Amino acid sequence: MLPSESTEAIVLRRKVVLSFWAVFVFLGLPLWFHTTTIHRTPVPLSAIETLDNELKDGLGLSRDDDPGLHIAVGVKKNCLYGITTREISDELQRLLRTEGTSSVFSLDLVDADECSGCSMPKYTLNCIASDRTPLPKTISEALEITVYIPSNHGSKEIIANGLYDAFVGDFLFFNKHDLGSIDRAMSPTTGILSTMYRGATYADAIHLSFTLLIALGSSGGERAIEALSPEFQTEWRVHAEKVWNTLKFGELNRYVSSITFDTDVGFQYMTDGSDEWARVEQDVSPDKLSSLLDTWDLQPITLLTTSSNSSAVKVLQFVYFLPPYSTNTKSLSFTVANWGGVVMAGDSPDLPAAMRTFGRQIDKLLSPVSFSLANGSKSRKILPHRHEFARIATIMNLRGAIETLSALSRLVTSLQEMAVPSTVRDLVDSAIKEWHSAVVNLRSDFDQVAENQGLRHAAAAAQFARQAVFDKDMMLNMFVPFEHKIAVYLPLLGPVIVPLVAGLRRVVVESRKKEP
Amino acid sequence: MDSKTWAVFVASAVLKLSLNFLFPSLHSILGQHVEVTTSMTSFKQLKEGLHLYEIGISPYDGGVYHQAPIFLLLFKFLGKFGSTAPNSPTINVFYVFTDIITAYFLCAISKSQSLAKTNQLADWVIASIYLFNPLVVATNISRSTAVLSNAAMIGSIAYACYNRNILSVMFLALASHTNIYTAYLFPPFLLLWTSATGATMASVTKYLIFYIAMSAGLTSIGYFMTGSLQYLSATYGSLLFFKDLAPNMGLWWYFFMEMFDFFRPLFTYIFQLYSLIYVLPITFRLHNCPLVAITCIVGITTISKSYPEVGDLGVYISLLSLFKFIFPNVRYALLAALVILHSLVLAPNFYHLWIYLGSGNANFFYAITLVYTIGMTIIITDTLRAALLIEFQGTDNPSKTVIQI
Repeated sequence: MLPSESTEAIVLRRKVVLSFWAVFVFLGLPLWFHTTTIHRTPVPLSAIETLDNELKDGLGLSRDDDPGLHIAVGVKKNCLYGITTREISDELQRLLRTEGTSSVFSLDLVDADECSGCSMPKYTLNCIASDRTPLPKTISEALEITVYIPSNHGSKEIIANGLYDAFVGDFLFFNKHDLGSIDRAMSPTTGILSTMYRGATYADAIHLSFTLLIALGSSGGERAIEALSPEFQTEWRVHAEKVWNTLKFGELNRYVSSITFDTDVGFQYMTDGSDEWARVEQDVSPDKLSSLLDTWDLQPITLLTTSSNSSAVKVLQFVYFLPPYSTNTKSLSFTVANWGGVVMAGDSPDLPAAMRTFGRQIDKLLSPVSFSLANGSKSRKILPHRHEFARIATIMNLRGAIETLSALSRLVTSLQEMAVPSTVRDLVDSAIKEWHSAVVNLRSDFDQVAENQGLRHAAAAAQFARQAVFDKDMMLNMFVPFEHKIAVYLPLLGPVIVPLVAGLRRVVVESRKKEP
Repeated sequence: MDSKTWAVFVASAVLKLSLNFLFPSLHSILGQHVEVTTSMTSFKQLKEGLHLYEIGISPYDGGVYHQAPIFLLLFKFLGKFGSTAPNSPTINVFYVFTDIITAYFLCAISKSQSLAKTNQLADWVIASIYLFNPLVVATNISRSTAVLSNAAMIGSIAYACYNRNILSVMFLALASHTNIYTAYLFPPFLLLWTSATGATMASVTKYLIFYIAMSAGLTSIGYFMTGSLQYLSATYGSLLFFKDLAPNMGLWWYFFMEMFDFFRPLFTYIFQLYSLIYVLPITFRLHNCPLVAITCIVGITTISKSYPEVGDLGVYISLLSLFKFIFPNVRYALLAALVILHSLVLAPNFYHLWIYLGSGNANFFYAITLVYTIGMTIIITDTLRAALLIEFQGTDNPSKTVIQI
């Protein structure tokens, strides 16, 4: 039989057991609770859910919309020549498939004359057989696509090729005021403008034309006038300088003097966001133009150029070029910038090469965006579509951001035991903020600067969303379910808790025995 | 102190100086061994910190230096007498002198009133056990600053044994300042300090306040030296939160290499708590023999601290040598000795295999640290059991017989 414990020993044993428990309870438990609490920062789930609706309502884009180059074109009756829009559309699709662009580009033809109650498409197809097309009064009018149809040669192939050239082809510069010469050049017997650079959309053709006008205006000592918003002024001034420097020192310099400058005038201005175009008159003399300009509230920018007799006069210039006929042609049609453009005209045999060089230099200067086609075919530079591309990329980024944030929302909702660090909340807030900024910019129409900003905001939104989902701390904790935590704690606590509980039990039992 | 003891002192000095002279690169070789030094006691990092301090840059920026700022003052002072290179005469003499002082303190403890009634080993034996212990010699030659911390701790025990309590508190505060785990010894030290007058609330409060004041004073030295309290994070923070994840003879590094970040705070606190939780119970249980309590806590912190070294085992064994009366009741001495010996032989080999040859991995080295810990655990539990048995039986002429079942 074991000897009984002395009182002192019992008291000592109790002190030992209770001191273990004191550290365990007052230090261990609070630390255990503090270090194992899952911190979940609230994520704005409702804000994420509304993003999709905002995209749909604000931009008219649903989730299923393909953000490819989807362009609606209104076709006027005079373009149809008895051909249905369906036939033209089928022919166009054939062309697109041939070129491998059908997966990215889509053109919808809408009957412009019978579009009652529908929103008119941005672009309108207008076919002409003469040069008597009135000048555009508004930007929307300027965005008309004019297809020149040789007399009695209207066909679905011509119209379809015209549309194709307008949106898919390369640069094209024309001046409709010399359609007579073009008409002769475009005759099937004399040739087609094949080495000309095709502007696929008027917006880009206009943009480029501004650049070229300013640049070329300085070469002849003339001044170019451009009344644009301050952002555009800066942008085009920079472009103009670059273009001029290239032209000056490039190969085209040899041919500058041989180019005939026409004093025909066409210009646009925008004041206070208005899209009213100034009326343009043909064959305006410099004096008359000067008086006209003085009466209008313009914000001109001028390039200081070498003086000439007409340096005081602000004029725009067009340069004409008409290359000889080549058999490598797609169609008998071409697109015309309605208010004017740039045409290099001349009958020198060197001019085609000069034009090619000019085009290359412009290509390099303005850094056209490479657009990889969805079908995997070789990317092609489509400078005219850069704003469309920006819009497409913006929309894709916005959708990507929505998808990613929605995935995060589902993750956070379904895994209640997953920690959500405060960094994730900050990233989500940043993504939503950038998202809204992108949508605001995307809503602006025909605003390259805003579109570029929108693209940047959208890319930032997508990036923030990805960072939020793949946050390191959150991802690590996602794979530690509650039962794993128990599995980790038990080996730690088990060996310690057994003697502690046994000791405490003994103390309690002894205390109870004493009570009676 | 008899002549034999002095002879041991001289012999150890000759041995260490000879080793340094004959093998000038030995300090560097040993200094690179993770078993002998850690980032918390490395002389190389001390030199780095000293250099940064001398050129006016805070040594605690950059995560290189983790030791107490008072070491910077000390070695800057030593620099006035000569070079502070690891193998310089100044440092050689200083470290040899420190070890001899520690051995002297141990001899003094063995002759104190606290152990007067027990059968003691001869002074020269106690001194030899410390001075010629290979682990202690290796630690000394590697110029680990643990030599200084251990000296302060042993000195504190010695002064406490001779009722020089104020000095004891100062040395304990100094030892705690350089090695925070020494602070765990405060409760058993309280027993020592109040053994003459009794543990009244007033006396306990007095010593507590004095200890806190001394610690605050040493902390403030660090503050004035570095200009901020940032060094606390680099010194105590690194020790307590295991910021420098490097292999050593401890159990921490492997866990923290493998675990999820989510559990890191929990494990850090649990591991530190594991060292702390034994202090009070052991102090209560061994309140009649506070020296044994101190030794036991030193042993427990040796295996459970974040950056242990083999020198800690050397100190623990040296403290055990003061309690000759428990030796007859120790049952697993041979087993523990062999386990420790095997682990100490294999540890550097497995580390070499892992790091330099690449034919091993971390599991090799960690397995040996586990074996080392098992050996230490055997020693601690066996000696504790022996001490409790003697307490139960009585130290002389046991009146009670304990039958092991």
